[in-house]
Amino acid sequence: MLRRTFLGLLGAAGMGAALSKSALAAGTQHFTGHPGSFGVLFDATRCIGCRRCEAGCNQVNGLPSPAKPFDDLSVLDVKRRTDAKTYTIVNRYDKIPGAAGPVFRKFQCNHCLEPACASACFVRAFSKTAQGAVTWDGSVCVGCRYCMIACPFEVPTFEYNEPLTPRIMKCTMCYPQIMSGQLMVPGCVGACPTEALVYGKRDRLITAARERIYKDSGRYLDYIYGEHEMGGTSWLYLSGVPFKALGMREDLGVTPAPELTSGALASVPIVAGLWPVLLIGIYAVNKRKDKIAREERLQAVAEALTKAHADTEHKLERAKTKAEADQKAAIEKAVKNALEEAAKAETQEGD
Amino acid sequence: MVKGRSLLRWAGILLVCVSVSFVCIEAQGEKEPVKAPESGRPDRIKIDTLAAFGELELPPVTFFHDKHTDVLLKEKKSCETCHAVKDHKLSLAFKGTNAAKPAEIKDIYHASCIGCHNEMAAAGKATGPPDGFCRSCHNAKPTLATARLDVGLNKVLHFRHVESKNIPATAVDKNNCGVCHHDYDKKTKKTFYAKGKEESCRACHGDKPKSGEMSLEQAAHQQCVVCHLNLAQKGVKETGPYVCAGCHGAAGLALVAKKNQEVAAKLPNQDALRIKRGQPDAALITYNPKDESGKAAKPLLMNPVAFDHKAHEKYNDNCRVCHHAGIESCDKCHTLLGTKAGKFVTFEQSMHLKTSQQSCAGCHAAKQAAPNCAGCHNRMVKTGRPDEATCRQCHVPLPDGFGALGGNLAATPQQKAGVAEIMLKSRNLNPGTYAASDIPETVKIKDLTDKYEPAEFSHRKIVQSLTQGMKDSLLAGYFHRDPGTMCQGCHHNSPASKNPPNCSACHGKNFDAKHPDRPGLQAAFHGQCNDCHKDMGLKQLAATNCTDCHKEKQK
Amino acid sequence: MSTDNPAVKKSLYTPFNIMVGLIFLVGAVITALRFTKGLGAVTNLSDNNPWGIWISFDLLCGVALAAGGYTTSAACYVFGLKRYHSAVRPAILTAFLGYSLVGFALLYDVGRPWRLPYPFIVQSGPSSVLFEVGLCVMLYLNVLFIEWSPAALEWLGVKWQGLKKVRTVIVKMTLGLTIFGVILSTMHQSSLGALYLIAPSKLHPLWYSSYLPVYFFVSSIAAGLSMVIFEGTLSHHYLHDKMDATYLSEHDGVTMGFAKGAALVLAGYFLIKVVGITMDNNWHYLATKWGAWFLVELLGFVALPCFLYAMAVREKNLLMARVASVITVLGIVLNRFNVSLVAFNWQLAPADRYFPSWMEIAISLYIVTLGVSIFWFISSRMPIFYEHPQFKEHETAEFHEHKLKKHPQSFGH
Repeated sequence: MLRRTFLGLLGAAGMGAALSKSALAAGTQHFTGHPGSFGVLFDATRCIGCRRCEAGCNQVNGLPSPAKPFDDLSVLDVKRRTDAKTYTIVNRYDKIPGAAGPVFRKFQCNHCLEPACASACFVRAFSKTAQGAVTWDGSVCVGCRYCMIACPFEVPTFEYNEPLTPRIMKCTMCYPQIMSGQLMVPGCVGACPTEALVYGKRDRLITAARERIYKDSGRYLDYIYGEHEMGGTSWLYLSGVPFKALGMREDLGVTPAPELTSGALASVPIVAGLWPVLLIGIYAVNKRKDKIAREERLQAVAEALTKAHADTEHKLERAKTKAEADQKAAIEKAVKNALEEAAKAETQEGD
Repeated sequence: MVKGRSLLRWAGILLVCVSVSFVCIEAQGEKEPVKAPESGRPDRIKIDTLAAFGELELPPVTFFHDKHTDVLLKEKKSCETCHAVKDHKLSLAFKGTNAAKPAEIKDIYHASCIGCHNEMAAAGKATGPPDGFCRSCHNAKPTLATARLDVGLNKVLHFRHVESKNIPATAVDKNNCGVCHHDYDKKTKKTFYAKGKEESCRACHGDKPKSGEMSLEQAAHQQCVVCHLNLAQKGVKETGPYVCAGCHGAAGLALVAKKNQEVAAKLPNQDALRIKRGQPDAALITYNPKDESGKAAKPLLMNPVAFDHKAHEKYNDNCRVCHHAGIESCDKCHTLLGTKAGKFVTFEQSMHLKTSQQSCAGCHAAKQAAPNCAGCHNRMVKTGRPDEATCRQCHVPLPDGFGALGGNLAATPQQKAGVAEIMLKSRNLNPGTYAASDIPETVKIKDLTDKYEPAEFSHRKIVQSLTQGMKDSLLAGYFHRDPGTMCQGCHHNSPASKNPPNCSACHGKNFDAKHPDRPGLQAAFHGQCNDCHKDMGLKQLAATNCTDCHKEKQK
Repeated sequence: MSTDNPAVKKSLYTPFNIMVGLIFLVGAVITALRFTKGLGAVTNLSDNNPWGIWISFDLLCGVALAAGGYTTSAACYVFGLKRYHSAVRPAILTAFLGYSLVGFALLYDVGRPWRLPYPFIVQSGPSSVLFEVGLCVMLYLNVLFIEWSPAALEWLGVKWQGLKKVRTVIVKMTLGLTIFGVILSTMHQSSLGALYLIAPSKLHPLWYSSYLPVYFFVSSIAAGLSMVIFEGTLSHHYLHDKMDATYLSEHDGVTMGFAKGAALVLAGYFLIKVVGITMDNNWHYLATKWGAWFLVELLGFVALPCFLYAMAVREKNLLMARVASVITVLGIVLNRFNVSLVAFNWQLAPADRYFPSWMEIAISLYIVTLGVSIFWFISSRMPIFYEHPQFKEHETAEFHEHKLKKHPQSFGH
């Protein structure tokens, strides 16, 4: 084996080994959130639907005043969703089998551990902070709204009525206010009168939720929503009725959103690496094929010409020989005739 | 431009595509179709006799029994039109189909049913489907549902039967128990009356028939309906129902309930309603293990519990609520370690399992869910091991002079009952309460005032109304006999005292993650007060009506 | 509709021109509305439905139907099928205009269009499939521009000689550009499908598959081949007098050859779609109404044109091939619409579903009209359907036939 080939193979094997090792490692890794990151636990059995959280959020974030005031509970007669002026809303769910009365649920960004919006944004406008909140950076957002497609919880909202500077609006878990020390807990958490919302370290909240379930088993469903959904969210939910009855999807699975597209993205460099080889290969093969065809054609033409030439030569030779023979025979015949004539003449004179 | 005909062709194809798309995209508008409410009848029976012999060719027949008995009544025909009589007993099977061969059964039904229909039709009367309309009877999806309500015998109904002159006493004694209650000898295949061993029907008769035993349905109909029918035929005016709707229909049951109420109201006291089976008034619940040879062995247990059997009979409709498998001692099946017969429920579990209706603690826990109680009791932790003080409520030490009677192997049941009676007599069954002067009349909660004025509430009135709510319940009275106990409903997680601690003694302003089940002070107030109001059904004190409890601060 | 004959005085106000003018006018008005009142005033987009027909049609369908560029140039230059050479320039022009208009449509749809270059110059989000789409489309647009530029340079080079040198250089790069174009096209065609991988909970299981990128890529090949046939048919009718003998003589061969290719690709596409259902065990969905719609798309717009193409090749029936090309193009449009609009958000209540507003449809129509108008403008002036007489021999280095070595014994020259 040639030295160069050997070294090349060695290099390839080493690369392959290195690549496969890291791929294996990636397969067994699982992100459980930045250590010490914060979250919020929502307890649907404590929520009384008073909408103080909405009011608190509105006030802390300086959002515009709504059409109907926050203490108007008739607003709960219709199911709402967040919009560009509202980071969070409470919905009321009536006539759930097994529930004594209406059950309420607060809807806002769930601050996923591996956010779909952050994965989807092509200018990295979203970031999952170490504190736990998922924040949006308006200085780079292009307004493509792919984050809204990607979010499985349908959270981000868009200022469709802004012609030139539309923003994506969503709950920030009061990240700027908490980081600057203005608030200790998010606005909604601080406003809740029944502690249906509790703010703390996510790990601790999960333990706390489990303790609540254990201590009062008849009150809660033995499930913490958000513990594993889409890879885990920072906003956790406890409920006494099935989450589906509260308008929360139970079929989202546990795969984090970035894993859903990482396979397709990983194939891009492979295409970039292999397609040139493939295409140049096809081109080269075709070119060679054409060249060989051309040469064979020329070869065939040349052979045909040579053959024709040889045939002609042969015919010429034969004709020449025949002509010479004919000439010779003719001469002989003429001589013979002349001699016969002379002999005849002599015989006639002798008489 | 494209020629006219091909334009038409393309337009046609486009039209087809559009129509298809409308049909298919209509998929997004699919919702559950609203089902019209169906009225039901209690007399709907499914005739599937042949199902015991293999798969049915046609769906079972939907048969409305009362419809037919009504017609028979009008036609002045008796039940014997369809049901054979053997030994003065009406057979519940239709014309002997219970003894016929499978091949004959179909013919019996068809000949009788369709034959009768044809006769009626010939006489010009309204009747069921004639021959050829197979699916009218063999209807897989009948429009009328079954609305058959369950029937049971409660104490009052039992009493009415016991006192009924129409049910004569048996030869054994002056009671008529033996008319209904029987035992079954498997060898002679006959029923007989075993006095003192009367059980509920369900002790032997289950939902499905077993070899030698009828199902409960068959047994009940045979015993009850046939008797009622015979009495009616004899001319007795007031007898039990013998048409389906009479027992299984809402109207019929309401009638029975009304009559029960009238009878019960006329009684001087409720003791007459007691089902007499020689049971004790009081009992000492002990565990009586046996050793390998079958001799009584020494138990090593908690103090035995004095049990007021008579009082508990008052609270329940029948014996089966506790004696669920049969009237026996619990420890026959529920041994200390559990047996297969007892479904491996141990003795301790059979007394204490909070999720069971048969166990003592379970039934008591269920009573705590009543609105009068739920306000406090729903707030209490239900899982985990209760502390010893709770155990001592029932496992009271035996009175002086009786030693470890439970361990006294020689104690007879009568002796034990006697001890129990003494212990029960000394029980205080009245809810304890402090003197009114010791209870603050109003309490002003000043902590945390921010947007609202301090909350002032009538503390004494609430305490008194809660105490009042316990007056009808001996259970509540006994368990709340100490005056400080009821206060612990709100002043929880602290020893019972005349001066219980303030809420802010333990509940800080903010939620403390180290104590995840201890809310912050605001949520503690709101949770305790509002959830109690909700659980007690006080709808006028809604949690969202903030100003009901505290006025808004004027700026 | 030629403007060759100056002697005939033609009125500018033909019915066609009036219609086009009207569309442009309406388009201009709606454009002004969009940039003064915002997207909410012009579209029916909502927080639940952030992408509408400007993405579904102008972006997804536009990119898919512009695939003729890379398929034709690959066929001719990489696979060496020189008999398709005359179809390359029209296909490249279509692709170039298609991608340009995709970018143009994005200026309407995106919230801050001037920030579109941000992912490349300010801050990039490489975890995003959209980033990859954007990068590849941007690069490919440049490639297409360069591939198209010889036609423009030939047209302009009549006046300015320096451009001839530029043109020569570009022509020498053809193979490299073609290969680069195929790579970029593979990446972004498949990534447009990969966009929807991130939302499995929003897309109906019959259309959601981890094979979405492959589906989009393979169907784009079929779309490209069919668009070349379809546009060739239209151009043949309306721009016939711009076509030279080479083009006309090769035209039918292009149709037949591409029909053969499209039949094969559609058969493969059908097969992998069935594979997709099998892998996810989604057969039971076929029995629902959504399943019926899926079968309409799969059987009526993939299997049927595949069969028609195969028949057309066998019977040498050009009309059947053209019909098949129209059905295929409609099928690709239908598929893109299904994935992005119809089967997307299928679980929402009917009241929350999206239907485009008339203004959105008007803008899409305006963009298509713009494309057609520019195509007509360019192809009636620049050497797209014919070879410029000055540059006939110097097409590419490949085709220098007369530079062959002479046989020593050959007669003649």
